[in-house]
Amino acid sequence: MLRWRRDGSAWGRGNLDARFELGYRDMTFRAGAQLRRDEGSGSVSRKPWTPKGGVPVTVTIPISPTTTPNFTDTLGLKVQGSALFTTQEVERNFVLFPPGSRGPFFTPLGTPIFPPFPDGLIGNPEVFERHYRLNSVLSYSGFADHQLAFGAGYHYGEVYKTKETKNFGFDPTTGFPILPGSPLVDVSNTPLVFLPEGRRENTSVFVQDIWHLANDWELTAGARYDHFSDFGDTTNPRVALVWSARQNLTIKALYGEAFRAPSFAETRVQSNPAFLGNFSLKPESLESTELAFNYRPRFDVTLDFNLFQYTWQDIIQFIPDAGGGTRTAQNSGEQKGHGAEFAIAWEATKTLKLSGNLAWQKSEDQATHEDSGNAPGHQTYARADWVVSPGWNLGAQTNWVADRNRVVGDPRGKIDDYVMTDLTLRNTSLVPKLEFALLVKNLFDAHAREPSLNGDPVPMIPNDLPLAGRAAFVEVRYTP
Amino acid sequence: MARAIAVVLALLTASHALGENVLILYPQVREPYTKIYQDTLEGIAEVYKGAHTLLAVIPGQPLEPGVVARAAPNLYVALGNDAARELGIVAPEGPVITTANQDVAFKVRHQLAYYPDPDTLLAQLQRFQPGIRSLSVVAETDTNPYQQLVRETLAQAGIGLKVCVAGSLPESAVCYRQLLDAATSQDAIWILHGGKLLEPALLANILSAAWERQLTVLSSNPDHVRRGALLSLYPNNLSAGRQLGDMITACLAPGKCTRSETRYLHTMGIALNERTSRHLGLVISPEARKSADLVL
Repeated sequence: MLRWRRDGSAWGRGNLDARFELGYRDMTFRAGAQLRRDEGSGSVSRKPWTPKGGVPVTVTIPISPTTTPNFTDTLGLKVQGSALFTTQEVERNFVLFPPGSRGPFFTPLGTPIFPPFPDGLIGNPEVFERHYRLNSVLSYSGFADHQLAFGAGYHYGEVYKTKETKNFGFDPTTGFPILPGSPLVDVSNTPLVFLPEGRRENTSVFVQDIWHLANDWELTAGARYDHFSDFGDTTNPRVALVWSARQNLTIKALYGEAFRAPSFAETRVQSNPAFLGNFSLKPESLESTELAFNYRPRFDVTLDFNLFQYTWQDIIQFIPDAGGGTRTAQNSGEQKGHGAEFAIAWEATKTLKLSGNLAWQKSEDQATHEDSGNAPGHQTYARADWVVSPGWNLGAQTNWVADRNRVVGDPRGKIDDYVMTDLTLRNTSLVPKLEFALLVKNLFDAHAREPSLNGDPVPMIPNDLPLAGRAAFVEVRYTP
Repeated sequence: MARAIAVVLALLTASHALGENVLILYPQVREPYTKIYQDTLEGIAEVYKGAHTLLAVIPGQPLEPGVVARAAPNLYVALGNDAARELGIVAPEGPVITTANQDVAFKVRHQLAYYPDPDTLLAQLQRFQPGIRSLSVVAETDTNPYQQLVRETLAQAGIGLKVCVAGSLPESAVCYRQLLDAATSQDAIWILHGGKLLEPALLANILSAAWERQLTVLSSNPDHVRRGALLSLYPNNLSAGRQLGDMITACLAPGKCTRSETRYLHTMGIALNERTSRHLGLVISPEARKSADLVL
């Protein structure tokens, strides 16, 4: 499968996807390549509207052979290995602060340290990574009321090369600051590069049992243990009780614990004018409980209703550093939340499918006991898929995002709600093996923004992050 | 040529030199139905290696007699009603092997009916519900030859077949109500026929009542398993193609294919609803579970 998409929006983008799959008996081999070319984004750490935006190119090559032999009727094994090679390279200068800016360099009294940078602040970070994974699951269903699964996994991840040129910070050769107007200095292979090379190993094991307690009752219990070479161990259990209450009604109660390991950037980024990593980070942890109902009043209608609550601890956030414009990653704070979701899917006719969902949530920062901010309190989504005629499909979706509060201490007003609507016309019958699509994103050109982080004394990006306006795409897919 | 007929492929082999040629007609239909015939043709090709010509028929457009004559076949295969109907006009003599369920007059007609062979049906019933004592079905007639064959086969295993005759949807609803009211945990309701004897609201009532009374429902439609039926035995097009390949080979033998006959599918697709099996308290063996093509 080969896919190419050229974006016609103001932030020009080009994507290339190529995928390959080969199957033989119990084995599947998949390989692919992705190219992401993002002109003028500059949004990695700064302003997305930077006039002299850079061109980061991301290349990803995943390879994943899988084998699933069944030794007996009751014993099965699934083994999956994968290798992923990914790079982010910069084709043109990546402008962090626009020309004339003084950057984030101020004294504690607010006095600029440097005169304006005539070309702006330019930093061209490049990252080269490789990841190898091996996962296996052994399943056994020889007991009458139990289905057992045992698993083990290994992940080796490495940032094997980083490169950077920049026109600010310190010159590793002289040890003196790089002054405004200086040419780009190559800091690759020096202690001043933005991200030092490094590696991480993760080994894991898990066990799970699906126990049929009674005719309509099922209890799933499991636990997973992870060991990371760079920050220790974590164990996470999960339990789910499922009751088939009626032919068309299923009720589930779920409890689970999860974690998120700090990323390479969160632990290692250095010499950056805005964000700095922290080697002593712990993983974030999440504890959640959920009550879920699935009800089908008719064959063509499915309703889902969920109630949930969670506790999120050791949240990794970039906290402003005292007396400077930088932020350092820290396990900071605890957040609790609860909410409800309702979803409906309706096959109105053989050619028309309608679906949608409503979500409501409230989250509280446990340090301030105020709204944790930035996340929508209400969200509504609706979608229609219509087969206009054989080979022709028309799809429309609309998303309403509402009630987003600021975090405590953010002087800005409440974030505006928005409604964004997309339209897709797709054809699969004009040319064999080719699929054509015309996509219009943000059809009504809504002025939508996502919240930017608060800052001290003011947010670095005060007017939030604008989402793309109306944009049209043409997509061609070829499947041999 | 206004009549859109596409001769897709003609394979010549040694057997062709001996005068053996099979003309296989299939309907040219739109996606996703194309796959039905692709799989069937693939199954035929796996088993029957002799010379054959494939001819796509556009539904509603008559066959060109010259094209059929030029192929000079000594055996026809017509997949589906459209192909059989058009072939019946230009070559009623046959012999023909067909999967059509409509009554098209051929002098010699070998039909592969898309129902489970009675022995296959019995084997699957005993595999998934070993204690079954009777099977109940709603049908338009009680004298259907297939039902007679099923009755005889099940009787040998001590299983009865109850048929409630219904000529319309309201009558069918009454039948299902009577069968459900009379059924016990050792009985099963078999939704064999759709069409005018079934509609979504009736199906919902059947499945709801069966759940409440813990009764087994079998079906010929895998979609019914998604909705709560225990088991579906549905046509597997690749397997059906292989069986057609065997029928072609047998028919080409000297002296064979002189009398019409009907055969049924030996290998069926199996869909199993585990949620329903647990509700019914059935113990599905690992071997039975593994035999299912679709487990929900």
